[in-house]
Amino acid sequence: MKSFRRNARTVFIVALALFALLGGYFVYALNTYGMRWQTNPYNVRVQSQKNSVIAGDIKDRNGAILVTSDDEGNRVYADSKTLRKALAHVTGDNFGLTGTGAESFFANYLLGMDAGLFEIIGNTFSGAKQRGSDVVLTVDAELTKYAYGLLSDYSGGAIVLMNYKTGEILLMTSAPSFDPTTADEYLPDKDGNVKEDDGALVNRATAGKYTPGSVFKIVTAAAAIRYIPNAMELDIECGGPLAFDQETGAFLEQVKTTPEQDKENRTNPDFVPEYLYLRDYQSSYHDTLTLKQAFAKSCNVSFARLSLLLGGDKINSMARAFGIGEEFTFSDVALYTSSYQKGSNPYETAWSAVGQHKDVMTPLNLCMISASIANEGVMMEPKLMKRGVNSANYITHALQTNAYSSPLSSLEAQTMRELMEAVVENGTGTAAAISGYTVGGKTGTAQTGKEEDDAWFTGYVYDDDHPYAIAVIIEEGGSGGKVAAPIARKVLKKAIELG
Amino acid sequence: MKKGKTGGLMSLIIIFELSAFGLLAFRDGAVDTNAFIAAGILFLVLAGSYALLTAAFKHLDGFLLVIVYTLLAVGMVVQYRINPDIAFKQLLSIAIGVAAMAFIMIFLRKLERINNTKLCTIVMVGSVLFLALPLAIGSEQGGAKNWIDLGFFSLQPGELIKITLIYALAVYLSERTKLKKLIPVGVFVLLLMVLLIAEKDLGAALIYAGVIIAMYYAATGNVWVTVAGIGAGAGAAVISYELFSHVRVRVAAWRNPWASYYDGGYQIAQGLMAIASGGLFGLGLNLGTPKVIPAYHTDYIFAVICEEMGIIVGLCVIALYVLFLVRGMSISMGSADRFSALIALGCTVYIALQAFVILGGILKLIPLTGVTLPFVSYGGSSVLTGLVAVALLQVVAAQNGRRREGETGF
Repeated sequence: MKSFRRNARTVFIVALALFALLGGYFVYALNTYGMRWQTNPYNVRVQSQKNSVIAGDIKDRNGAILVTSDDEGNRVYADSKTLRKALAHVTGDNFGLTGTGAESFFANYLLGMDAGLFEIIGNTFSGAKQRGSDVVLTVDAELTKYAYGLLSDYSGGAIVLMNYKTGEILLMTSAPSFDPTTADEYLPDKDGNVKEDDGALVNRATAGKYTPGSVFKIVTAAAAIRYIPNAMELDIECGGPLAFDQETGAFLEQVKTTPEQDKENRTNPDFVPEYLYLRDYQSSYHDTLTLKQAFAKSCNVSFARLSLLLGGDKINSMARAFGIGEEFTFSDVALYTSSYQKGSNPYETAWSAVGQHKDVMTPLNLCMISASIANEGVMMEPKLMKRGVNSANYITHALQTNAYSSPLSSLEAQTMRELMEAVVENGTGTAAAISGYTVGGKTGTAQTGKEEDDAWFTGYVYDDDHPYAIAVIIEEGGSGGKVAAPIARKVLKKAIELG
Repeated sequence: MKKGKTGGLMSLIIIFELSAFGLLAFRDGAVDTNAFIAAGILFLVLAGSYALLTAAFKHLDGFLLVIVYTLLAVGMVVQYRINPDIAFKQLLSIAIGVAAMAFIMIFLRKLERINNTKLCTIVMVGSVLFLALPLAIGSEQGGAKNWIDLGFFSLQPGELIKITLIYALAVYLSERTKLKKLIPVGVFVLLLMVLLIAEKDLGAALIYAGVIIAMYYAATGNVWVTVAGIGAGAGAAVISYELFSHVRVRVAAWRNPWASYYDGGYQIAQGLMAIASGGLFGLGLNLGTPKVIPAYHTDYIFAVICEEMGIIVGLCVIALYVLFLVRGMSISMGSADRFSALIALGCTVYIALQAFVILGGILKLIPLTGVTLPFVSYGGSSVLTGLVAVALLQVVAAQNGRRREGETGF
């Protein structure tokens, strides 16, 4: 019986461990996902609450009313159509089509589900129609409208601007957009026909998975600073395209091609390449560059060489530190996962180190990366809700800033700032410079196989009174430095003007 | 166990039960006298049997009984809230189950009396035939063909066979540990598993497998065979994933119920929304919308409890199963003979594992397989089997008590 008791104890411990896992997971899952489950558009309880409660207002950070309810409880959106469209993805719609807008995401406040027990009991007895809480967002309506106007010349894109010290999102806009007052045209009509999906319902700032191109060099550069001793003193050779074995993708150090030869080869229709090449995007080559120069000029060959020195695993761990590959569960924003894949051989690793291959990035994630560099290496959790105020004028929810992670040490962040500020000072991003302010950034021109390249800019204004980080993506806009950087400049300048 | 120790706890449950039914009686404006009738009968069955059993059995494990009665009472409240007709049927099952429990406790004073191979052989053959019955004359419910419809009530052999499985394993494992000697019972469990998979009753198959492995390991302590058994189970799971489309649908729904909302994920998503909507203290009894969740009164009753009574009560329900596990295992380890100890261990693992499988499935910790939440879910076979397991545990507890009394010379 002795051995039986010993074995039975093992069985007992395993069973107890299973229940500990169950209870722990129960609490964890509800803490992490509970709000999303509750405010899910499929939840009939939210729908039925809508019929019995007058939903609260949605306001911008300055108190401007973006959405309100009329006496019958119908939702009324801002008068300006441009403003409605500029903010559509942030406010959401009343039909639950944009499951991540404030209308759905903060439904528990708007519909008064945050009300206290006594309030509910009081309302039940008095028979009064309950009014939900007002939700004050962190966004600035005027800034959003301005930025959306800048996107209208292009087929699509997104702009995000956040306060890098607090994580408050001041601007998030995505084009093409839709008008929330007529969003029901996206619902199936009575014959069951659905309007053709033009992608307008997607918030590209959070759900757009774009090829990052050269903006990814921020990650590779940070990995170099962390893992290569004296990285700033390195002389990186970039005299011509790099050759890789066609079968194995191995780097062939001894195969040298001069830029002139390469140009000739490429114009010669009969030329059959023996190797795989990694070329510079604008075919600009140099003898040797420092890391700072290579970053400012956005030299592909230099960064490919860095990837050979680093290896994909170190770049991957830097990417992970910046939140790439992470499934975010923020309380205010549903952010899709960015990803980095080191590839299976040095050739693929080299391309992925310059933001091509299979890398994808969401604009908000990129904005958070720039924000963390400006914020001494600390990444703040993005926030969209500033306050919840109930019908009795009592604040039921107040923004609490949250340092999400620390991807860089403050020394590493300082070095990264030096690199990014050189880009704006004398590199590819000079069009983003604002006189009187220290601006840092990185341009990107991502090759996606579409007719025109996607234009990127991400950066920040290093300023205690205006601590803003930004990410701009212009779909098929062309060059990042020529198209995205000037837009970033205009938006940052407007944000500074507005305070 | 001294009397009176658990009496206070029992009164608390009665107060909970009566006040909950009181609330339900006034829910539609007019007074619902049926609610009082249901509450009265439940009171008589639970409090009456508690009083009788504590009086008749000096060594009754009062805690175990109170834990089970709490779960039964919570279940009944939710059943009545959802559908009074169903609640009365459940009440009948509880009454029959409690009577069966008392009957077993009274007439089976010494468990050792049923420890014989001849009886075991008859039981094993009978069990296989009984479990095969649904395949021949059964009806399909929820994708699984594991019911026999007897007109006035339907029966789920897969439930009741859990007891005979535990019995057969205990008979063999109490005296033999060599694999060769275990062949008859090995063939028996293999046949049972094949039948369950043929009936697509994967939830039951999972619980059978867990009980078999736990009892085998406790009896032999043979790590290698146990690990091989777990490996074979995992292999069977992978094969069934490849083989059966309904298993693949389940796994896809588990991984992302929102993405497969209209294609298998609906139930899990509805359950999660219900639980999250309830919040810490629940929406209040009768104030939720539980009927949008499929199987709300059977497999998914836990989601209804969380929606209306809150996460707090949900955690309490989980804690009750942990307490059941603690009591059950202490009864098993306090036993002097291997046969009784194995029976007690098997019964405890069966209840605890079944609770874990359905709670884990609802909470999206593991893929969902439809099994009932013991003592809480609606279902006559489930309630009866659970109470028979409790009866066997009580018989072992009484044996232990008598033995300890003899040892210390009371």
